Amino acid sequence: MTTMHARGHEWLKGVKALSVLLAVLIWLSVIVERPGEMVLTVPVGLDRMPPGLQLDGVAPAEAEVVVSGPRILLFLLPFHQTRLRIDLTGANAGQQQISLKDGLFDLDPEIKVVHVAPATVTIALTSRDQK
Amino acid sequence: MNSFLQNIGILRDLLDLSLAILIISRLARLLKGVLALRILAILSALVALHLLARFFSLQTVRLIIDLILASSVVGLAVIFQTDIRRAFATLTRSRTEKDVEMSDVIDELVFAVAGLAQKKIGALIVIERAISVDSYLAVGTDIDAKVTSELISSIFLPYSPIHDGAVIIQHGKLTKAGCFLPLTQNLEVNKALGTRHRAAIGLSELVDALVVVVSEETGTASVVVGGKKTDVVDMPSLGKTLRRLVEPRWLK
Repeated sequence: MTTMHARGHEWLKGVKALSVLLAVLIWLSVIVERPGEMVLTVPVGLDRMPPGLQLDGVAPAEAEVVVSGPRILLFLLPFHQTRLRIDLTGANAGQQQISLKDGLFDLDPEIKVVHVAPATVTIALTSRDQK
Repeated sequence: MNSFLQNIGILRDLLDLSLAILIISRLARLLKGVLALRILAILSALVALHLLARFFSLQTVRLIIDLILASSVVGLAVIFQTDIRRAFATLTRSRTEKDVEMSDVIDELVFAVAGLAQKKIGALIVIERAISVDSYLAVGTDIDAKVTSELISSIFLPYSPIHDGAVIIQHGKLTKAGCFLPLTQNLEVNKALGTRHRAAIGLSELVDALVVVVSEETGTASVVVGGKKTDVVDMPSLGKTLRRLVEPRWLK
């Protein structure tokens, strides 16, 4: 009877410990899904420069972005090499004004861009021959 | 103002976590046995895996785990149907009804058990409580008589044709005798226990019935409830136990 009692006591302890663990894990999985915001400084890269054209002057090196999304995804963002990629396909010689939108950032689909500074960048392209 | 709101947020989170712990531990305590511990451990592992899959953006793993977690509710209800039924029966028990004067049925039972134990005559008496035992009984003879110590004693006399099974008491009446009960499948049950005790434990694992067993080897009486056997020290304590565990409404 004493052994049964001790076993019952152990069982109760185990149930308590596992219940706390399960509750904490469920609570954590809810907490990490809460939306949050984060400010990131991302490098700006120019992709697919049309043949025969080149950059005239200096392109902005970095942009400051405010992103929002589930906290679990935001937590990993600083470790992820997030970049702002400006696609120059079809660009002509001269000044190009490009507005920085959501689609230019390689981010998880669940993360939204709230604000970008600067909102637009101006890039000057010249023909290689002109130089 | 900002820090006040932040403090409220922290307090709300703590309250949320505390309530979650309370709910899960209460629910877990309704379930019996080692299986409950294993289920809790498996669920914890699944939730931890879900978190890791989310953290590392493992979409397929996350989908599989989420599907398992969602379907586990139905699985748990099937696995623990007996425990859930027993828990609900316990929850719906009314405390005020306990004060009502107890029926003579218990006195008759105690008197019969005392006589059988003294003569070392084996007996198995099932008292139905909130959950019906009918679907767990095999064979048996319908009787439908008033519970008297003489009737119970005569049923269990060795030369009686129905002495080998269990006597069933439902709503304060002796309704059946010579019934075979399902034996326990629990491997942890003491191997020294005979078929009569195994049958008592087996039935009490399935329903909330109370079973009184008299051993023909030792002449001791035991009360079996919820798969647990408790030996009766003397007959007054058996009466006390029965009055504590059997509510008058189950004898009406």
